[in-house]
Amino acid sequence: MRRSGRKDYLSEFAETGRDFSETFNKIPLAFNLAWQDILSRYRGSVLGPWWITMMTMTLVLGLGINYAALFHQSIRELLPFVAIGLVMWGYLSASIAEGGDAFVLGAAMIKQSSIPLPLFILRCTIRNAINLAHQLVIIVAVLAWFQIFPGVNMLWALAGFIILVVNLSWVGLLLAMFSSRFRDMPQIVTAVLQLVFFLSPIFWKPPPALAHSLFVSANPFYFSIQSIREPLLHGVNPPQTLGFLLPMAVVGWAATILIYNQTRRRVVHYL
Amino acid sequence: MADITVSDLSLHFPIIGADSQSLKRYLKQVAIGGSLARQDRSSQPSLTALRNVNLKLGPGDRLGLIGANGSGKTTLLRCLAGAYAPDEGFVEVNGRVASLLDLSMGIDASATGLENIRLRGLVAGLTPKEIAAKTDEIADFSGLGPFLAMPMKTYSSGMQARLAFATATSVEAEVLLMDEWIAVGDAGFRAQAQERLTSMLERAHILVIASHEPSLVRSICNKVLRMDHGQASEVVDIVDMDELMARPAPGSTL
Repeated sequence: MRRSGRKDYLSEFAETGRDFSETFNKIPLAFNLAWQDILSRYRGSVLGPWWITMMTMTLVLGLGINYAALFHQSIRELLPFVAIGLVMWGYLSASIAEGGDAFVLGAAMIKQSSIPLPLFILRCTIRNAINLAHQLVIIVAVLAWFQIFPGVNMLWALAGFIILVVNLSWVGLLLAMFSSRFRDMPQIVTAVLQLVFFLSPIFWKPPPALAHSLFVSANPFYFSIQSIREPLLHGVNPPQTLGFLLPMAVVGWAATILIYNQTRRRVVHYL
Repeated sequence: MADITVSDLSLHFPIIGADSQSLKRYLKQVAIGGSLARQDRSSQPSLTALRNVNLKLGPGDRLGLIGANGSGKTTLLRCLAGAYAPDEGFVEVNGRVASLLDLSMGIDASATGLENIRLRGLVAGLTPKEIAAKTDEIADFSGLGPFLAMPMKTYSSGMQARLAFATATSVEAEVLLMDEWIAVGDAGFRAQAQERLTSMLERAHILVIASHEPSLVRSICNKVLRMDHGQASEVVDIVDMDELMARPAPGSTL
């Protein structure tokens, strides 16, 4: 291990590159940390993560059936829409909120070891993926109930999911860096996410009149969920997946790496 | 082979006041701007924690860091652990590092002793299989017996120290960094620890320990370095420790 003073702008990129390559060498550590997080969160609980599955299922049924009646839409159309929307939103919002806390949570380790910073974001990603795995049973159950078999279109949904994970990672890393310095960020992020949840067509279908409103036509949260939902429900791959979300992932990571390059030495001092 | 090289190491801490941790106030400052933003970013106040520290350690060296509170011992240990990046100079550590600077390592207090062993092993770079193979040895050395299955919050600080020490010395770490907490161990543990640390000489490992207790340093270390206000003396042999203590402090010539 060699650590030296900041030489010039370009040599910092070598250090940043080394941080990321070390992170990928330490995937078992990230996995075990994530597993340990889940064990401690649900210690003493009987059902563990299945509680969340139950709560989400109840919400899906409640919203799906009620809103179908309220807005004169068929349950067959609305319930799967709501199910996938709520499960994926749960994953998305938890990833963003917990991503911001990743460095604060790992403060003790950051302050006494050379574990690379991106590893803490990887830990968060894995932890949320494990939690998502427990919720997927809801989607499977709802699709099976309504006899919707996506077939090969599942590959498009998978592609959408992978792009979502890539986007959530850079957002997580960015927020983690800001949150280590500005301790208000997690609360602001939570408040914004709540607002986005209600304003975006996550659990309600947008009527054609709203098609030009920004919440429908320029909403990355909506696009992310649609990139998974549309292939599964209608066999359609929305153009925004490759046209908006993929460029967003590339630009997002580029910007995040530039900021990480500048900030990586400082994070430990903020914690 | 383990070795440590520190060359002209300097480290500054940015001073971030308690109230500037709030983004809201920061944004307000920016919005008001103009005459209130007198200080530009490059003149952010900072504290020099380490100044031109130099040292070289080879296999079998056990270095004691002595100095008053606030002299920079823990900061230097953190630089050796790789937590702080130097502002000037460089730190090079070859070999697997186990740092015993924070007993809990941030692990949740409800986690059991066994889970803690696993976590420490992973952080030190072992695979889960290797940890499983070593767990019995660690359990024996720690002397904690059935307590290993109980949550860490039921442990005294001495028990936590035993567990951390047992794990760190069993994971085949080639560099061991310790902050003064070995004092919380009882006499039996200290004797065991000393024996184990001495055996590290045979395995050509390196130990760096920060301590206030000269007798502890004398019993464990073969070299000593004195720190004062972020500045370090040269590394001297343990037999010259009294002479090192009698000299004026390294930072006093500033």
